[in-house]
Amino acid sequence: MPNGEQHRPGERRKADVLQGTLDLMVLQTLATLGPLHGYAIAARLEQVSGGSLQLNMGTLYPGLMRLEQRGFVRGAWGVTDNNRKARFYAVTAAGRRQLASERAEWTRMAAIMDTLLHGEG
Amino acid sequence: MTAMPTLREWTARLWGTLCRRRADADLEAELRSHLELADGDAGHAASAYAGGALTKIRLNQQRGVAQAMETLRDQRGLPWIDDFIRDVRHALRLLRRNPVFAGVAVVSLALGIGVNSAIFALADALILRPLPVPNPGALVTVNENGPGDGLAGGSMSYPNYADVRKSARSFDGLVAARGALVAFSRSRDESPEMRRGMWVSDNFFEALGVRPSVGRSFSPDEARVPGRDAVVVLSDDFWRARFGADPSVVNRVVLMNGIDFHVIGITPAGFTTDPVFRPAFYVPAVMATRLDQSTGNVLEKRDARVFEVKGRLRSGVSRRTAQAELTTLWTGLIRQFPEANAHRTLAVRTELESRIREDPWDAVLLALLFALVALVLIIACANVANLMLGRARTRSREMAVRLALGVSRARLTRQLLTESLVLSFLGCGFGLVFAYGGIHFLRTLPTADQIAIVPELDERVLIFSLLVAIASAALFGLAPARLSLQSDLVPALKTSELGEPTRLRTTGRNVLVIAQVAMSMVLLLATGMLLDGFRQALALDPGFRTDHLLMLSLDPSLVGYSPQETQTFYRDLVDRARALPNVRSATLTSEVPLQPGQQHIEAVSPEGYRFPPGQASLSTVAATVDEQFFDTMQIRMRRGRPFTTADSRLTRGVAIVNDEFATRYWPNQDPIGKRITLPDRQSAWLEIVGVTRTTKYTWIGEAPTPFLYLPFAQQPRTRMSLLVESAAGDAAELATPLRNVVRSLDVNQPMANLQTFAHLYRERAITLPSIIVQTVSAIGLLGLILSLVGLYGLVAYTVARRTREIGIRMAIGASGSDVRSMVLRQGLILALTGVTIGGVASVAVARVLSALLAGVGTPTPAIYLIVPVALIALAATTSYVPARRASQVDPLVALRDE
Repeated sequence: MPNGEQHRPGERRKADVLQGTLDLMVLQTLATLGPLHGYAIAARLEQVSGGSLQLNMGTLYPGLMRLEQRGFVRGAWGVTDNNRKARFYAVTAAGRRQLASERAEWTRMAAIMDTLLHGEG
Repeated sequence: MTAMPTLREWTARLWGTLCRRRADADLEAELRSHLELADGDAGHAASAYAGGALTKIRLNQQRGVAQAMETLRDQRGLPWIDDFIRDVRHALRLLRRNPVFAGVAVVSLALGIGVNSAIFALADALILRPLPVPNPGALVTVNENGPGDGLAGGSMSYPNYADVRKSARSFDGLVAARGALVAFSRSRDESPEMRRGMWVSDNFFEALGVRPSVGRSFSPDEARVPGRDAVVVLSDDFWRARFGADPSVVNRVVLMNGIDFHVIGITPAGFTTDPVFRPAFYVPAVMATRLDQSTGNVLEKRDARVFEVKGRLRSGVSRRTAQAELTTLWTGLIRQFPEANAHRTLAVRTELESRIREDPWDAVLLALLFALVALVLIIACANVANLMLGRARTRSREMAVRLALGVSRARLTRQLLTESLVLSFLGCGFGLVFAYGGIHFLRTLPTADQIAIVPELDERVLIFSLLVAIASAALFGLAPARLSLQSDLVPALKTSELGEPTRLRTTGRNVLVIAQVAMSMVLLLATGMLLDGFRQALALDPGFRTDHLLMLSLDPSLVGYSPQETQTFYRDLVDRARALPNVRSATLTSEVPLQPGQQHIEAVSPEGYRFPPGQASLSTVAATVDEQFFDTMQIRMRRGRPFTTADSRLTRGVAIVNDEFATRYWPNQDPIGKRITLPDRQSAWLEIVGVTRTTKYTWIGEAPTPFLYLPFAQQPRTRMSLLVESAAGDAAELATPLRNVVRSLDVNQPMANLQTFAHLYRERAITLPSIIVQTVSAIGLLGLILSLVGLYGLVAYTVARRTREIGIRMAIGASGSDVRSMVLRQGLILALTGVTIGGVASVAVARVLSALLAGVGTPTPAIYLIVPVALIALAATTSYVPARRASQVDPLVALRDE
């Protein structure tokens, strides 16, 4: 439980959605693009969503820490192309397995939801 | 399922909490680098990303760092543990800053908790400690009870046990055990010693789940044929004491009652089935007939109720189910064997229940002690609560500030309660040191051979102490915490540090101190009653002489004497003892007064006594004595005559009872010439020829007990004690000549308890009660001191708070003595109120106490006067110190101060 953190109602709803999907999004991003630092992940997600998905640091970095604690990603300090220090995250083998199963689950759920919401009958 | 934390995450977080954490600096560096990267991006106007969104990100950045750090910290470790550690540190800092507060609070708690721990250790050693077997909670005792059992109740006969064991489905095993005395020697060249052990059913060790540490337990085959397999399992402590823990003892032969027994195993260390009795050995019950030829075959007599039966409940079977099954079984056994079993019942009891039934006096004493120490703990907690209320005023400002800063009330409550917990755990720590001292003192309780009362500071005591500490923290911490947080923000912030305390808080503190005084009044009255009761019991003549006597216990039947040989042996022994130089008299008795251990219980049916239906006899404590007994022991006859040499096997049966017996069963009648029968012995009528005064029989604090004396010549017993009276000098000097007399009669005769009667009396009637008296006094004194500290604290606090007011009073003409009496009055009003309330409560307490302590003398009414007067005097003295300080207030200084 985030302690003492105040959410506006809309924000909270968004955060809840993020909790469930953030891990999947981050893992997928790292799996396709290779090791990235936090800012690059946020920028990538924002780009992919066409600007509608803005992660603040208070969501992104605890999420990364959680993934690291679960052994799905590993973080290490490195240097960017522009010679800036940044912490880079790479998917681990366990992370890839997790991604595969989460992706399958997500696809299955999406198909069910799709049929339910738009299906004939 | 990603949202659910995995075990790995929790481990990582726990790890993060305890040691390997990413430092705050590292986390912050990552966030800073994020911002720098974002800055860099924003600098490139030709960013590939939507520019507007980036600006937005950047705007949120600065305030985001702090918030993100907070969330990261929470994610990094386990926030509540982090908070807890922070609270503990904070609490310790606060305590260091207020050493007087911390000192008084911790010492109060240490005394309150420590005294509870020590008494718990005693209760554990006497009654509470579970048996050292696997899953002791599933063990139950099966008791057989009848209307006339009284003291002897609970045991079952072997045939009944065997029938129940055969059919009962509720148990994973039912075992029977009986204490037995044997003459034990390691070899034929060694003279035997008397040792107590157990006759046990063949499944004893298996059903209890105990495996011998060396060797094996009984095989099922060894229990089939009565008297065939002479095998024995030795207890660990006996093996260590007599065989130097030599493992090759197993398979060797030892002698028990002159019979060769094969040692097959050694019990694990510490194994026992009784909280205090330490048996030396375990022998299959089927060997009973060969070991003990004097009492007939107890394995076949359905009315020989001598076995204690325990069972292990089958898993999933409740005690209630087992009870229901046994009740059904028992109904069948009553129908089958009405003459032995009619009107009797079977009860399934927990180990604890049956121990309390066996030893109600211990249970009562412990309950009393627990009540007293609980009072001490409450007084100690009131002290701490009082101190905390005194600080609550300053604390509530701190709390108000933090509430205003947005910290939640729940979080602050947790912090305040953590502070209380820290205090009480500190108290618990020091309390255990104090308890260690107490336990050390309680270990001096006198015990007898093979009896061990060993209170220990073990993990059970530790757990108990921690629970007490947590309970105390709740007791003294909750109310002040609520008060500190209750305050409205604005006034709490506005009032200056020296503002008036709320009325509620002052009342609260007064109520606490009054309660303390009231409780210590109750405590002191109870202590006083106990002390006075014991003092009287000790001052009273026990009813017999205690000096110039040497005692010695014997049992020739153990070495194969026939009843006739036994009689002759004792006659010869007494004659030769009397002939020794410096011996004035010698007598035989089966029961030495006050000797611990099992009492002899006789079933008696007094002529003309109307029994309740279903009951044909009553059980009473009894002794078999010879004609010299009353004379040697100087037990006065009230009426009639003592036994004489004329009372023999050939003359009519006679008996002597004590006053209590006579008045209870033949009220307002002349007992001389009345008759009794002994149903268990199928005796003819015995005529009462004498009545003695009622003396103490088993315990100095016992209530007047009916007692029956039977003449040795007519109702012989095999286990007797010889009491020899010396004409002059120390009776102990007769020990060697007496031992030689026994040896001259039979070298192989085992002897036990060779000691002066004065020694036994001192242990049982002086040392033991005085340990109880000292324990009780210490508890009473503790309570008194703690409540005086509470009273002093409150009065001193008020004086300190009212310095300004006192200054004004003195400035406008009040004299020092006016001020002094004003402060004194406050202390006295508190004390008087407390004493009054305590006095009212004591009426109820006194009634309970006098009922419990029927055997101890009635305390003098003076106690009801002495205790309150002393308490008020002490309260006045305590209040005098701050009162004097108040009277010396310099008005100028006092007024300038503010």
